[in-house]
Amino acid sequence: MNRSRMLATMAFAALFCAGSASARDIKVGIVTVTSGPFANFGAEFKRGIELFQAERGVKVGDHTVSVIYRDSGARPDVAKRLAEELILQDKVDVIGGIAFTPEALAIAPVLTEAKIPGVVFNAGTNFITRRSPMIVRTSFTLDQAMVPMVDWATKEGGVKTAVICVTDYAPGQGAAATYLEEFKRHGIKVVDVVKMPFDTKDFSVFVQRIKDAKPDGVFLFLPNGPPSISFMKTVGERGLMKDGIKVFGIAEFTDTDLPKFDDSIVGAYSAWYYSPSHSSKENTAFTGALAKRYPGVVPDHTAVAAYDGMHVIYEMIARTNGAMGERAVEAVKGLSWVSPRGPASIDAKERDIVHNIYLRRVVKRDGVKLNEEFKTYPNIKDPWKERNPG
Amino acid sequence: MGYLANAASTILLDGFAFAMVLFLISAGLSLTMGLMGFVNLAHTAFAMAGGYLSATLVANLGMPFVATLPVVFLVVGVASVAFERLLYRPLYRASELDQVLMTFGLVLMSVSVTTYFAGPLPPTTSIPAFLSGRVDMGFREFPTYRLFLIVVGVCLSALLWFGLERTTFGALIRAAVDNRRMAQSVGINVDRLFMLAFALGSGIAALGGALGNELLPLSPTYALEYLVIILIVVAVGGLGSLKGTFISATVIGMVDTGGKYFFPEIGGFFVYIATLAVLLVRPSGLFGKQQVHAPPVLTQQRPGWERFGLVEALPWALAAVAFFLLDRNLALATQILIAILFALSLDLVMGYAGILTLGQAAFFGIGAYTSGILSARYGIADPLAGLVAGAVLAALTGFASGWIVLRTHGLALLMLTLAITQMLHEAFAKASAFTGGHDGLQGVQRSPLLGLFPFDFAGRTMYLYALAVLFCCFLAARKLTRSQFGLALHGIRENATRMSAIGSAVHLRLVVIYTISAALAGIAGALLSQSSRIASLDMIGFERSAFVVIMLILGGLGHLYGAFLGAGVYIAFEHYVAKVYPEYWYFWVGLFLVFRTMFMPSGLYGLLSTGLLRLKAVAAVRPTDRA
Repeated sequence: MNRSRMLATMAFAALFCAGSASARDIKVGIVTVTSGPFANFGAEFKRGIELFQAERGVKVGDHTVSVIYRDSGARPDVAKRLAEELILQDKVDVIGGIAFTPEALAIAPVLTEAKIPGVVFNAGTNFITRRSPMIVRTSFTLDQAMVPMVDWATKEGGVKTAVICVTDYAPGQGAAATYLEEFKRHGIKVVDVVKMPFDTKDFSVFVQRIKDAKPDGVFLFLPNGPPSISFMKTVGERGLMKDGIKVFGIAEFTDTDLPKFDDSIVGAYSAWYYSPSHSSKENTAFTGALAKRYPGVVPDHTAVAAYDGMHVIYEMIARTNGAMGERAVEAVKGLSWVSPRGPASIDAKERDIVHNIYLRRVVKRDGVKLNEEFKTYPNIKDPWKERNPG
Repeated sequence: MGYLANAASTILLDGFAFAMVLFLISAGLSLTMGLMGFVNLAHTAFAMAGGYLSATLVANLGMPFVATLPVVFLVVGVASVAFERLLYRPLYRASELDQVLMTFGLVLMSVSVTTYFAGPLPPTTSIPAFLSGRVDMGFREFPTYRLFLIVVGVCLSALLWFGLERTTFGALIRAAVDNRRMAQSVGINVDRLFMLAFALGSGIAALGGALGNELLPLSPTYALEYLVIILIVVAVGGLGSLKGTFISATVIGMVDTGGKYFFPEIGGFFVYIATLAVLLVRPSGLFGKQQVHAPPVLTQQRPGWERFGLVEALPWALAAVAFFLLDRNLALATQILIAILFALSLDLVMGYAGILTLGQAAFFGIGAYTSGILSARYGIADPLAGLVAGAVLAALTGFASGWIVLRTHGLALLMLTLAITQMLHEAFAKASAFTGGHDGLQGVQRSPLLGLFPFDFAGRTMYLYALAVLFCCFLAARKLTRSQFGLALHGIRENATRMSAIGSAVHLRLVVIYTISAALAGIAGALLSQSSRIASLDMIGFERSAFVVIMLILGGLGHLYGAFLGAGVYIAFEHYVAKVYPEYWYFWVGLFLVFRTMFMPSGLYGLLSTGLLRLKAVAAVRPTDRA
């Protein structure tokens, strides 16, 4: 069957289903990463998804929701092929997961062509939702965190000179650009910009460079995983904070990672959308359910994003009565709910997540290190998209 | 302290600490490869085991870190003997390629086993309090732990040197490294010697893994990730030379640190430049033995069919049938065709010319990106134009690099091809405005083939197009290998010295075949970027090179059809196993590779053709019944 016939059949089926309330088997295809150095993302996706389905069940009205997982190994060409297979062979109604930007960019045209909605559970580059009208995101954008953080650093953190230190790839370069712009806006002097090769294992040279530059603060971006863990260990080892340099990160030392560091990391700042210690009724329920189902696992923002992603998918199913397609994306524009992270909504124009950003500091309470929220910036939309209307 | 002085002290101290870790992990491999000529790609897995064991003992048993070190050395050293007896020993007489395949299979298995027991994240490691913090050295501060690394590294190196130079055991090892046959003939039990040396090497590597977990962080993919740099240290130092490995580790450690300090954005390049510099001037490494050109150990000798046998139609018939049967799976089928072409290109250099290379992905990637950039950046979306451009640029690169590196052979050649591929990988990553960098090149379009056949979402046009390209390339390869040129290559493979003695232009012929194979690899790459409509950095890296070598060895070298079998089986296996075991499919693929080396020594092709010959023999006997 050629493509236009296939689409016509799908549209016809959609109409048919929309009219009657016939029960359907809704399939969710998750493009995940379960092999390679970033396999942790796959584990977190799975926890968020399974927790959600354990709570809400597998039925939405008369429809049954099943989940199929496919490992892309973070390779964008494989991710694209898997997305096509999920759509053509497994006949999924929606694609979820998508851990990294290259994968998101590769999958976007497939979603547009096939008119299948995609919900991004992680990849955080700002323009991803612009690459396809079928993409909705429940994770974050980096700019959302960076802008408030620089704001706080200047106004209340006493930072006048800064070093930017990022991993040298697209998200890192984007982060550096955003930091530079924000510093200019706030009148902070940039002493050095250190861009580290993507596959760096040993960060001591770079950390030493930061130390030698003696700024008030260093502003980071590294992908979360082995690189960020290694980097932060080196920061502690070289005594950066002991020297009086404030460290500002985003997701380099989440609560999941904190047990891996010694106490030299206490005092590091970050701006992020989820902390396990966030006090709210919804978060207490979430962390409680997580602890019961996965004892010993620290609640992680990726699992929350996947959990919320499933919420959005279930809403898509409910509001279109299983028809899905373009109407599903329309149906969730402007959707708002209370997530374990706090209040959250899907921006009606950009289809991107809108949520609170919290300024946190690493503290030690009862012998346990955690990221403690001390300031909230409410309902932050992605600043880059606001400044660059599509 | 002055900027330059600061920099110098950083490079010296940090670089040397890094060098010590590199040395500890590499020493065992250098000894193993020099002593028995055994290519043990799984060596870094022993380092990983040491690291994980130490971390577990500290975290779960509360053992003090320093106490775990001798434990780790003994446990991993002793455990490695089991591997040596069971898995390695049967392959001592086998070809290097089988050793590569088997040990690579072990590496893949190690990734999954570690993930299974320890999870995908790096384990929690900690330095004991008395080793953390900084030491005030007067002119600057330096982390205590790194100083500790330097001290321990130097002490262990001294111990090893003493052991090698001043004890009987050491003398025995040196004798066996110098000349194994002689050593055996004077009554030295070389097998037992090797077992002990292997255990020692693995134990020291384990120490390196445990000590070095700050510099080379532990993770399940450790064995794979650090394989390249360890191989570089070993090759640059010279096989079997402890002194060479020490100096090489120092050079590499300092070059890497220095490069990254001054030029962080191109920091990765310096190690590869150093590798090229050393191996081009001294191919056997800084202190390796000057090798006599030993003929490459490629054993596949089967004569091919001269005319087209009926059996030869089989793969094409299968491909045609696949088109109808797999109509919803055509993307996968196309991937298989592309992999076959890629493996075919490799077969020309490895199977027929005997050139062991880890650089084939360079040409593949160049083909992919050329075709992709032509479309995405210049709007030239004609697929055939992309193919031609990809082939031409890949061929040019092949010619230029081949001219330089084909003067060497064996390990030196292998490492040079690897270094060049890694450098190209870095270059493509850096030129992100042009190539899309780590995001990959998006927006590759394909205009209708020959202006007549548009590319459909289900991938039908793409499949048939790829099949046609594969067929043409295959015919060309087949013609080439059966020509005069092919015969000359066969001669070179058997004995290059003899060939050049009779006046055959060895180097030129090798460069020609290398260039042609590069062109074919470029075509395969162009097909991939046209099929997936993106070009990404993994198309031009070490892993892609490694996996195509694995595919070819799996199928069997020197038959052309080995490429079909190897690529087809590998990709199908990977795809279906990954569906069932998304977290652990590496394990099953690795097991498959180990199995293949232990039980199918001549590759899948050998297995199949033996089977076919048996069938023919049976068929030949039957008619006498009628008489």
